[in-house]
Amino acid sequence: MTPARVSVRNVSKVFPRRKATRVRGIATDGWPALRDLLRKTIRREREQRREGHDQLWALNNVSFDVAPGEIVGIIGRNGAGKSTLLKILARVLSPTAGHVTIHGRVVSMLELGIGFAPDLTVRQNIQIQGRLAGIPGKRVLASEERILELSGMTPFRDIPLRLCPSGSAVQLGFATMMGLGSEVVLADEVLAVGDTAFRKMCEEQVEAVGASGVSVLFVSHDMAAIRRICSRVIWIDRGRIVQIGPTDEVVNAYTTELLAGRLLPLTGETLAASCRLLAARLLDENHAPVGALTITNAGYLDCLVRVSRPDVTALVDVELWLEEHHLFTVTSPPIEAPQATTFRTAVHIPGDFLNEQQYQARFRVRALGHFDPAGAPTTATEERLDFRVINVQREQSVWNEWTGTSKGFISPRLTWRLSRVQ
Amino acid sequence: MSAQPTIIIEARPDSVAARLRSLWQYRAFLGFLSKEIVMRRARGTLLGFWWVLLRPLMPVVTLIFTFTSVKPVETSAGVPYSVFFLSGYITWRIFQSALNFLPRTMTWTQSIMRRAYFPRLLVPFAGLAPTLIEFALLLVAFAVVVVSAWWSDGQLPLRVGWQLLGLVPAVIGALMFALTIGMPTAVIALFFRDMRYAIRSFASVFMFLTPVVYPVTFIPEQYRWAMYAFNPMAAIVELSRWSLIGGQLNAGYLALSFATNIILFVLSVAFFLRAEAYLGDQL
Repeated sequence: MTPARVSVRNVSKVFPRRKATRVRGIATDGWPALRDLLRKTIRREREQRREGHDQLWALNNVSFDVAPGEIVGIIGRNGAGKSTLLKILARVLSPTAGHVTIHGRVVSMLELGIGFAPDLTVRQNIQIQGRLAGIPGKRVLASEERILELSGMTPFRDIPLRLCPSGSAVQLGFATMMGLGSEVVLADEVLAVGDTAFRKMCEEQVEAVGASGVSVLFVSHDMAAIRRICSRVIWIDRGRIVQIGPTDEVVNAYTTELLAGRLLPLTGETLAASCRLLAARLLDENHAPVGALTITNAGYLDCLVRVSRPDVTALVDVELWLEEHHLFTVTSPPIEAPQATTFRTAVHIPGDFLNEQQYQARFRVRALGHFDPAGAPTTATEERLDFRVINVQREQSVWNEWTGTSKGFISPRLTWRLSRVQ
Repeated sequence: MSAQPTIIIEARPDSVAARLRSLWQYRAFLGFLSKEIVMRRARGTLLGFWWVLLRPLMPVVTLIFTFTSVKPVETSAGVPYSVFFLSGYITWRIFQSALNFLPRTMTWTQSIMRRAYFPRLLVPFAGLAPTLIEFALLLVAFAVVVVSAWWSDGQLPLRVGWQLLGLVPAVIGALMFALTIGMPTAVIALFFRDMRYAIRSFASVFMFLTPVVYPVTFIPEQYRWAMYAFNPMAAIVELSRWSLIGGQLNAGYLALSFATNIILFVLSVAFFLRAEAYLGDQL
């Protein structure tokens, strides 16, 4: 038996849930956060290992092994702890408990396409990306040809990135990560962006590096892609491993659970059993589950609702939030059923409408005309779905802002009229 | 395949020795970060890199003009005021400019830190890059002032000899004290932006509590010890001035200053190394 390339043992991660305090009218969690940090650093206070209401267990006692050359898929709903797991493996976050041993270099694609300098040439950008991944300059130079070939950008090698075809940054980022010759690759939602051809290229490359002995940990909501490329799948829900095993087995179990609605919602409580929200997802325009939308493409906010009594008419409200701002609410047509039925309903989000931001969609099911004794309309379940809208049209700077992003909560494409006044 | 490094991630923060080892492993990152920090300032400005040159020269011209033409200061060192002033200011400026940059460097490199691992201690060290560029520039300015004074007075105001080596510990001392104050404030600046403004104002006020624009003889004999005891920069600036143009140097105060400086520096590095492990949650 070959020794494990990555072995994760009893890893837990706790995030304190802090209430934002208001200082002179500005909401901030600066004070409690700073106090926490100082306590830990100066007084060496260990994080409390108790499960309380003020703590979020993003990961709870997670253990698994990854062999060389294995492509492991990580699935689970939004907020299940998938990204936290990858961030711990990438050493961006440190675990609260447990330990991880990795034999080899790790290259992580946590936020693809960030860290590019539009004014530098393609080759210089490869150097920067390699440095960010912690690979020495000489090694990067050695794998430069391979990266250029993988990304299909050999003819553009000495051209500033901003003059390259759009989408080059993402493509180059992916190729760099794959071509750097590391032993472990961490990929978080890399397929969420880009067109079909790009996705196909990504999948092929993941398979190719897997075949060459690189271990890949691959987070995705795209079950079809997971089925195609992964040999083993880990299913995480609310910080715990639910199931780990051969791809088809785990993916089938996961989708069955998702459809049957046996997964408990992350937040909210069931006040009325008559209509329940089972799951919420973000779909792209081809109805494939994704974690992010691109700014120009349309998508759907999709949810499963179970209506179990004939006398109940259910309505789904979807609220769109940006940080603490409530942007709008849309309400579904009434849903009725003679017997217990599960419905799928989706609201269309047009392209060229949302801005480049991190949004939260709050799904809520209510029973029309039913009120609970307290007088508030019955809120059966609430589901929160965080998603990003990203821009793959313009090139991104080395720093965290896009160059020339339009500001505001949304960025609709509106028509203009221009006429001459006599 | 060549020898593969083994990475062990523990819940407990790594030991200080392991941290210093990884600092060495990731040394190539220092150049990359420094370049990014220097270029970050230039991005989106009209004059670009020239700001690095302009920023330190503007106060030099203003202060020299004020204390020679508006309100002349008697330096009693037998050298023109401009030479006297710059001989201390070049070292002082290291401290002031580093304090200007350090609280901001952490926020600037946040997006890099969010997606890649490297020892975070490299960030404040890379933050010294623009300061060192300014220092090199001020050395040139000092040379120009010295040569023009030599040319007009016929007498070289610079004391050439082994004492010039005193500039080296003065520069190192100023860099250390800037890091001592800069590292914890850079951590706090991640939580509160106020820190940047506060530290900048602090630095400009602090200059007048240090014998930079005036000679130390301006301060009455009986209060001088207080300045040296509470302000390590005072002895550092004096050392810089002594090594360039001569004058008196109190070895006792100098030793006191360097002792405080080294102790505070070690404490500050220790704080940063410990805080480092918990910064990830905050980014």
